[in-house]
Amino acid sequence: MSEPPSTPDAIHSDAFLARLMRDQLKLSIACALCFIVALVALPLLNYFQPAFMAQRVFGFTLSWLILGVLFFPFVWIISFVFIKRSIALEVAEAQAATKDGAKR
Amino acid sequence: MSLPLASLFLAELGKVDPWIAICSLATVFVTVGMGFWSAGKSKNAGDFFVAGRSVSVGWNASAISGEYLSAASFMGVAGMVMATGYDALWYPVCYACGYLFLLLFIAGPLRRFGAYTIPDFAEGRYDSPLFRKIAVCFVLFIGFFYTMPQMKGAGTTLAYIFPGLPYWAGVVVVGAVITLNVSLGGMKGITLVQAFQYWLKVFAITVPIFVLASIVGHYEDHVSANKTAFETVASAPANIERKALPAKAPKDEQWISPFGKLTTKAVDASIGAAPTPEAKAALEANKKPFSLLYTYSLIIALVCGTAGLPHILVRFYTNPDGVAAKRTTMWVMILIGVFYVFPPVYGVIGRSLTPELYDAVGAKGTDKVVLELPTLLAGKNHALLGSVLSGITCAGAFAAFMSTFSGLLVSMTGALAHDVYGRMLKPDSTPEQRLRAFKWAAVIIGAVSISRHASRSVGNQLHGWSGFRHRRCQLLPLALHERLVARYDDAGSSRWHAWRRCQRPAGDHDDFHFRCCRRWGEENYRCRSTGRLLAGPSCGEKPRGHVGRPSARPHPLRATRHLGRPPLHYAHDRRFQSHRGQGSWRHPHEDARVTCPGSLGPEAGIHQGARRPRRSLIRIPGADYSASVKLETWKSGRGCLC
Repeated sequence: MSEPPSTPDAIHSDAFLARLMRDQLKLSIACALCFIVALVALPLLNYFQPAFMAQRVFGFTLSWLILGVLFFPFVWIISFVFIKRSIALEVAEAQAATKDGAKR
Repeated sequence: MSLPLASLFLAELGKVDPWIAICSLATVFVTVGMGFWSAGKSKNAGDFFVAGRSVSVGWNASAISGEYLSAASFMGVAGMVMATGYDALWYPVCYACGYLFLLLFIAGPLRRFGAYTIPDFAEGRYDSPLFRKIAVCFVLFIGFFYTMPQMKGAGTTLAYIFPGLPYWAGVVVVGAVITLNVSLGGMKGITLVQAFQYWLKVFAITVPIFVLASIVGHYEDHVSANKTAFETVASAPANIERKALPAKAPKDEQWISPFGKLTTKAVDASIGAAPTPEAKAALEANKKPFSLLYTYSLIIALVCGTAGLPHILVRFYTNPDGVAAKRTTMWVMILIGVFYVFPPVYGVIGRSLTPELYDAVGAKGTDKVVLELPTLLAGKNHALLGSVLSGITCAGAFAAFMSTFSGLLVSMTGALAHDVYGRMLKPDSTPEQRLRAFKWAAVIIGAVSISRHASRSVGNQLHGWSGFRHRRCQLLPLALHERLVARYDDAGSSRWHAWRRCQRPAGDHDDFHFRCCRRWGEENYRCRSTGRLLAGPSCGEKPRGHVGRPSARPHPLRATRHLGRPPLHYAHDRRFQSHRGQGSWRHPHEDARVTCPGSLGPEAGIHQGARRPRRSLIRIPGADYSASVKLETWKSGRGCLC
């Protein structure tokens, strides 16, 4: 059974650790879902709405524009958001831990 | 072999366009030069295997991108877009976006595990020597198969640039240059070469296409020259001159719309093989749903295949820590995303202007559109410009073969020298011996690859590689599994506590500490890196029992059989006998001798000497945990008891 740690190094309790891991995993899954939805939706749109996806936008067809050009910036945005928030989570955790330690 | 090659070269040099010859040879010579330059910089085994774990985000991202953009990306993607149209766009998109999964789930934990090679990771994670052997086989298998199209590309391109040179000449030149580089500079040298070659490739793919597009018409104009099924007349601007398509080329509406030739290939084949007319009719009626299915399976295969490439994964070990590994992945996605916008442009313009390529197959047909397009300028009164630009694209193609082959060679060499030699054949080898093994392994693998391909007169087509990329997803589930079971690992949990007490040496940011502590007897821990006794009488602390979370349960794969064994059980392990009682031992992965404080008592020597790393490579839950937290703890001075 879990025994409450009594030493000064215990500022990182299991609760802290588990929460950080859970938050990071949640963030990863949210970002992955965002990407997967786009990946699944594009062929479906091509399949069910061929006329809509074939309309011309700047000379490309809509589906060509999305897949050949716009998809790249889309994943850059996801990865940028992920990294920013993932690092912010860790920093917040470190700050909370230090504050908690100082109180003791 | 080199003498006839040299004379052939000189004889051929007079016949080819001087700009093409100059650019190609310059790429080769610069690469060789970098190899010699970096030879002086790589000194120890760490430099050779993981570039001293000190590669910055920018360099590593450029190097990974350079390694990743192979001949297939440089020439094959353009060829496929030209040959099959819209559906081929999934290739560049999934190659670039597959890195997202690497970023979200793999990069951080993988780097924090602190191993040297992928087999190291496999064994350490599952505490099983068998896993190392399986992983070595995979790395070598994938490496050799992936080398094949690179070598094939090198041979055919050189034969295209210097007509008259035999196929094997290109294989020998590219193979020899890279083998030399790897054996001279190892991972550190290759990092430099690959980063340089990324920028060379981007230059070689963008500059010619911008110049071309300004003369013959832009990307979107050439796309709009193909009319869709919903248009009666193509909406191309008047300045686009389009040549008539040969009979073999796909029709406009098939080419530009989804579910075209590429995705119906499989169902067409089964229609041809169908036994009865009814079966044929049924397949024919369901052609479009099958295409949708094909598209999805293509996406899954490409995205997962990207995340499992061993020669890419191993590069993450060259980053200093997990956060740097994540940042690197983001920059890799940006760098290769920028690159991958351009090959389809070649394909589209090639369809309008060089439709004669449809009549030939593979490397003589659409696959050479990237090399072929710049030469069109010669016919438009820009003879010099055309030569310079085709010189640049040829240089880019050379960079593509060389950088990918170098990455494959490093990962295969690492597997042989570190895992087969350093772990299986001769576990008590010194770092110097393993360094020598690395150099020899590089030469041997390079020679084997060259001789295998030089003798092949036929190989697979440039984009034949995509087929086996589908099959190499094996490391992705492994790494994902790593994430999932980490939470239920109670054996590791107590070590997590042990780790938290272990004093970190200042400046050491490596997360190796996560698994560097092992249980000794019942309640004593010793940090493997610092050699400190972590709990027990000398720390004056009450021995602690099991401290896993109440819900934690051991995972079946992580049997805790190595706990609580009498130390003498390991004393027969010959690789530690020499270190017994000396107060220092070899760190199992970092090739550094670690010295213990002298006051550990008589039994310390035994335990130290009796350690058996492969039984004690321990994954601590929370290894996906930023270095920043631990550093905060360390800086605030609370991380240690001993």
